[in-house]
Amino acid sequence: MPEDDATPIDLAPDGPKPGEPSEAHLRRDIADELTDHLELSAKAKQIGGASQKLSKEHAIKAFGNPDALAWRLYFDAMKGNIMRQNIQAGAVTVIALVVVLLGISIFYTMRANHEALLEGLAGLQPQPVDAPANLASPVSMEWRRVVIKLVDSEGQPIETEDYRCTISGYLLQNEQETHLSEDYTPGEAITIGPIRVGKHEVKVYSPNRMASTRSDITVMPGPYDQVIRVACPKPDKFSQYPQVMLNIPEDLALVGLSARVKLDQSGYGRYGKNYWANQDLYYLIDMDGREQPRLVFGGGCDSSDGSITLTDPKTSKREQWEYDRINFKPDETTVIPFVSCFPEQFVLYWDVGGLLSHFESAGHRLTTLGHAALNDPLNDSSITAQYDPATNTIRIEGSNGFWEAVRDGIDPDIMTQIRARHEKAKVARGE
Amino acid sequence: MNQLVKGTLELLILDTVAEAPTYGYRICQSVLARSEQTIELREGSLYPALHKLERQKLLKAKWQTTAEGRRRKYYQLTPAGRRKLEQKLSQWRTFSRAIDRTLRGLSTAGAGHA
Repeated sequence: MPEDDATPIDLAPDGPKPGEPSEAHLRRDIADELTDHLELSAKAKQIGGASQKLSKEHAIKAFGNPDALAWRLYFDAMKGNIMRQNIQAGAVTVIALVVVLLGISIFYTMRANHEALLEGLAGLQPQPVDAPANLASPVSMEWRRVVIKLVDSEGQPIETEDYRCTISGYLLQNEQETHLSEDYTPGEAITIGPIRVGKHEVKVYSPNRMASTRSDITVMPGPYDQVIRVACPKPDKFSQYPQVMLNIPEDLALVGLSARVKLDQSGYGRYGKNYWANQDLYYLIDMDGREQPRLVFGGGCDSSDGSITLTDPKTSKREQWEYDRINFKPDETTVIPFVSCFPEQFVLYWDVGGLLSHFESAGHRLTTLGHAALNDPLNDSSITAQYDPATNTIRIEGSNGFWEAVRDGIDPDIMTQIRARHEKAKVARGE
Repeated sequence: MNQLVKGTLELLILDTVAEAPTYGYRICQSVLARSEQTIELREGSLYPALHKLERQKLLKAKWQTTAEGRRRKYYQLTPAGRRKLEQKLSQWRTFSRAIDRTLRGLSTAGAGHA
């Protein structure tokens, strides 16, 4: 943030402009007069060596509460107007009564005068002010709309999304006490109400649901929306949506792995626009058929730990590989290359008795090994295939869950599915 | 000191404005300088008093635009304001002398007992 702030002080940024009539004009005049004082005071302090920004802050601090003073001046002036109107209305009525009711006793004259004064008072209900179109006209002196502007500790507008603001108070529509809640859009203000004038409490929730409360809000009667500035604490580091990006190799999307990502956390979490509180987050990533090699998940976590579990859906054993060393870095996206998750080479096989491929995690390579000469694999309880490029042959060693699945007839359609997927991939690659 | 200033606030304002048409900030500075940094008018007292004097037609206000383009409100004394100033000055001098005499009397009496 720049140290110097050349923005002029304006105590009534949303108020009427000079030259507008009646109360609107009065408010503008008061604001201009006090603003001039503040500007001169700030200028004097600046000559003393302070920066523009600091000098303004000091000037406002030394001034006390400019808003309160502006309101006092406004009401003093309005009181004067009301008094004058009272006197005028009373005088006119008295003269009329004297002319018409000449001869009636002084008692009746005074009584009539009194009634006329009451009538004059009744006529002093707030009248709509000839105000600019962008300003709301008053509903009544008891109800007022408030405009809540969220600022940071330095008085600058909050530029982060997903703040939420609630204000407790009586709502005009049903006159019931309620908590009015609105979302905040950066660069804009939250307009709430009309609500009843008086004491209110404003709560602002940051994106990670940290609350900031101002219980000293006083909504005062007035012709226009009352602007309230609420200073919000900066969101803690985790509310900046730390994310983990699992860098999935493109080829692996064809294999049909699924992954479950678990984020261990103790506080609040965010995924999209939703929040969870005090629970672990699970994200199921189905890579099968996806053409999205990079998945982003997580955000708003209080935890710095998490794990990823990959499952090979083709095997009867649902072979799993777990990587539990996710380390969130606050304020930035943590990219986890697939290789570093699973540094040990693992081999996935598909197809039977025909085209055999394997995926090497270390090099992100999907290799077609060729036609495997696998004889009677269903009777082999312990099969692992290894490609020998020197001889272009595949040696079978160890065990493989897939072969067992085929052997046990658990999923007879699996070969069809895998073949279809493989053919589709070939077409996509233009082979 | 603030309590003492309260009773004389209108007098200070009228007297300052009597020199030449001026505005709120300048009035504060002028009083501060003339009182040798003793009397500092608070904005929260000054402006309500200025507005009250204006409503009582003891001051007349006029808006001018500054070189920076800001509107500035200048106050000047009306004939009624000048009469009021003379009246208040006279009252103050009487009061001030009385207080002065009283305090000197007390001081002398105290010394006598000692």
